[in-house]
Amino acid sequence: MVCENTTTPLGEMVEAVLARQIRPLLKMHGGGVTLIDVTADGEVILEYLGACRGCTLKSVTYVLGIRQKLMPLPGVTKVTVDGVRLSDAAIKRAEQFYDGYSPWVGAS
Amino acid sequence: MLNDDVFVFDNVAHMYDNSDENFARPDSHLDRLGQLRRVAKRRPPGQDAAYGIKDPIGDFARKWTAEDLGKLLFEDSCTDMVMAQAVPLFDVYTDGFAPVKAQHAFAEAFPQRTLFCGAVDPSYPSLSAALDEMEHQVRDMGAVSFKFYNAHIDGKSWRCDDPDIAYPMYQKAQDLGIKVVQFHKGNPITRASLDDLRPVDVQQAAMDFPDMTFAIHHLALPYFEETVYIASRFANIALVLSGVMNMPVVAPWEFKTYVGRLLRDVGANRILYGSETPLLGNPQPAIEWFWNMEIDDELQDRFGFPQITDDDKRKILGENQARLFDIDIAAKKAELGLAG
Repeated sequence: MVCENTTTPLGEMVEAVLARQIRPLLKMHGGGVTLIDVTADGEVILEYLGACRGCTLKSVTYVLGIRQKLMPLPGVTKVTVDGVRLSDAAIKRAEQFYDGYSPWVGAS
Repeated sequence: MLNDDVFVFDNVAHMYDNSDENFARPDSHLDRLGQLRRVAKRRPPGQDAAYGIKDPIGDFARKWTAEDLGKLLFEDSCTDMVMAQAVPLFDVYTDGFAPVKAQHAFAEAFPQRTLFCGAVDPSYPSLSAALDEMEHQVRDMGAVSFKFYNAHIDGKSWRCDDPDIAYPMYQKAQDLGIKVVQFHKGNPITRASLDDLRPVDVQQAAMDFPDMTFAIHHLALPYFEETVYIASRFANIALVLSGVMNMPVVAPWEFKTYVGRLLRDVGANRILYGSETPLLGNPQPAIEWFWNMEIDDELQDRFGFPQITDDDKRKILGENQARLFDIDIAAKKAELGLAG
């Protein structure tokens, strides 16, 4: 599926993070993620691909591997991955758990 | 409708024939007794007395009528539509646990509110006969889905991913325009092996027939973990809460754990409400309990389960089933003269 909003500045930023920081890690285990939309109010909507779809740890991947890397982008208000929904308590816990740590992998 | 607003479309009710006359074996009474004992524990307290039921086993060991079932569903509960599902248990019951003709008769009695789900089994007597019967049930009886029960007590169990036995039936269903096939999984209601009812054999079939939806009933309990991951992996798998809907009578926390987990890892779009009326009684208490349920803060905190929303509940109680079977809810409400 082609996302029309990837041509916006925010969409391009999201795509860049997906390409450099997220997809390479998911690919190592045969998984992936595709961008469905970036809404006008800043919600990034994604869908898992491949092995990520039924992975036992897909909720962890969502909250640490994807959400944590996209939320710091200016203008992103929410990150949604189809087929994963966590409680506010779990999201808050993840944020606190890694508070002060950089979400970025490598030198990107 | 629930609260004059929420469209309730029950995925599964049955016109059972639990009468002695329907026994296929000298020892069929053992299977019937086991099943009726299990379900009696899940009917809401006091409901049997309210319906004049004195013997929670014996009063259910009979053939149900369209009048019985219609009253429970359409007069005594807020159910708007239902699917009458045949259950092809021909090893124990001559005409099946819920006979094809009886389900069709119910659909004929309440045509505006009922869809008919047929059933066949390739072991009784043969695959070729099952294929012919599928054609008959669709063309002459109006079946819009098929129910399968692949575990038997006489050595005739089959696998749902068997390319020589199961796939010709899915292909036939597809050729007949059927988009949803359904499977009793887990929760054996006869003495058949539990292992034969593991849901894992639905995976390959779902992969090989990507244009069909494969509905797994009862969350395949006790194979819940397997079921969650199978549904996560394949978008053409739906999960039916049949039987499980009455679990809050016994174990509300356990029910919330299942629903919370499904919302977290599968999503609300592929979960279907199913009542199993009449064996589990009037469905109204279970519907109301579900509408009022919440995922407790402790569950949200401990397991990361999201809160269940009204939108989730609407989907599960009827919208998902309507979408799968091409029912336009607004048009159906107008047809039935329902408000909202």
